[in-house]
Amino acid sequence: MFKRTLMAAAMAAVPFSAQAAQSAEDLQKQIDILAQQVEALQKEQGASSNPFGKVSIGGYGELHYNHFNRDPEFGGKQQNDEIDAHRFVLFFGYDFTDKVRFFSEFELEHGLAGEGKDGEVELEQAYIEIDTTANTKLKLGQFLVPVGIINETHEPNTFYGVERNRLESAVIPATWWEAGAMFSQDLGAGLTYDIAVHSGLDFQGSTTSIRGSRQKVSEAAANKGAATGRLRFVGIPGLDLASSVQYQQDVNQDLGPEDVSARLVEAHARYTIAGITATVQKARWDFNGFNTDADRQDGELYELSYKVTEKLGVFGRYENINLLAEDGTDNEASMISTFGVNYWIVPQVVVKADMQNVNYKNSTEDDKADDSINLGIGWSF
Amino acid sequence: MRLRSLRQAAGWASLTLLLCLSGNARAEDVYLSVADFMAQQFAAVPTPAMLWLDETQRQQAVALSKEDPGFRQRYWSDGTTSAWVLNVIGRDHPITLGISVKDGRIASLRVLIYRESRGWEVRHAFFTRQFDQAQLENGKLDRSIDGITGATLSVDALQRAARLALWLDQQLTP
Repeated sequence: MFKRTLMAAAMAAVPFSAQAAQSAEDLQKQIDILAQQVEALQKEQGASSNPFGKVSIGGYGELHYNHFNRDPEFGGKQQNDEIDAHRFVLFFGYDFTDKVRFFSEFELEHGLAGEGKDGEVELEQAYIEIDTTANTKLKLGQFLVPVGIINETHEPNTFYGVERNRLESAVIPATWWEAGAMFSQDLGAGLTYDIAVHSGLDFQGSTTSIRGSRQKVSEAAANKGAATGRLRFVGIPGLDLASSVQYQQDVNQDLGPEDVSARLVEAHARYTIAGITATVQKARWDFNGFNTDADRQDGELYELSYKVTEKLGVFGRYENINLLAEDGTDNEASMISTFGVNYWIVPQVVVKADMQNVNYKNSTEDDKADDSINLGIGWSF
Repeated sequence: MRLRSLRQAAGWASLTLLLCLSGNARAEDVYLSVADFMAQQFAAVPTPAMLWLDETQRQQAVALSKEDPGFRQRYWSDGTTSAWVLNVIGRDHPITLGISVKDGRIASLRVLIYRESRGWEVRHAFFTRQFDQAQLENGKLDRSIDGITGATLSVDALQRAARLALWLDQQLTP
């Protein structure tokens, strides 16, 4: 009894302010502990019972308007003006573990797909990516071929021009995907390489259109394959130097009148400083085995752009493209000049406008038929 | 002819398998641990503390950095330097960063864990050293950061994190 009275007297003797300080400190500790427990619980639930925590969703899209010139010399307008929901793409990914993940890209082109329609529904990517070490990765499945600039990074807010450039649509047939395996290593200091073995093109013994010979991994002929290697250096901020080499065993897939092996060599340099970006890119195909003169297709691109403000950029581009027909004539050889502007409403939403002038080297072609004024809006998330 | 093709295919397959196996032998994807990052920033690593943020502060942080810091942020501080571990989304996966701030300027920005499929070059010193001594000027970094082709979203994410770390450091000043 005496002890209890003594304790009460001692407690009463402690100043109230000290008790309050002690309580506030205890309270803070309790809040911290509770907050940590809530975070740990959320993490645990996210990892085990909530599969949606491992799912990632993204996408991009672009809508284009093309206005073509009239050319009285060739009977007026050669092409109708066009408005087109050119691309609508959704990404879906799933993390199996921290080191093994799935990624896919699903696309609707030209707004409407089906028999007799203009568009296509395409599975552009579907692969498993494995972080084999901190500096190496392995992709297995259907992936983008490591060639060029736009083929792998083609969200509309990342490049200038309403339509993709001709070099990376006709000579490098972006978007270009194949099925196989790709190993990538980061050697440090900005130097990386990729090696891929994958399915090949199929000219079906008749066409010489590289773009038209993509099989898109759709019941694709796989009698012959291809391999691609790329070396890339980005070790100086603003600089991108890369070169890719590809070998195709037989672009007729062992089914054509002749065996035609092919080699693609691509190289590009891009440097950005003080808002100015200069790009030089070249690509060349050599075919070995055609009975005609259609043994080479190539192109080059020069682009200069300037970011006037964070939101506004202007650019000019010149391309020289040589696409040979099956008989070796160069009636599709062209020189293309494009000038335009990009306005980023936010970094991932862009409005674009440009003027494109297409000149054919063969004078019998209508030089003005493909001249156009283009408007577009694009987004990615 | 067919035998040669078969041999070529087998060769490629073997090479791929060899590269995979050699990779698995030292699997690791954390480039720098939090403990190692802190040890680089402080002679004696201080005990971490907690910065609590009210709704108004969070809104300020989002307006400036486009990143929500949440209602609390853990930090390390020895009185002159503060250090933060932040997660920011590049394209669809979080990038874990260690950022230290001294005298209102970034002393060090390092990528601790990178999980995105593309843009892994941003973790190297040749890129992150662009942030050294950067400070806030009218709510923006006082310098332009040169990007990496194909890594635009990761580059943007690192810039958002840098702005957030500088803003968080300002909240420690009474």
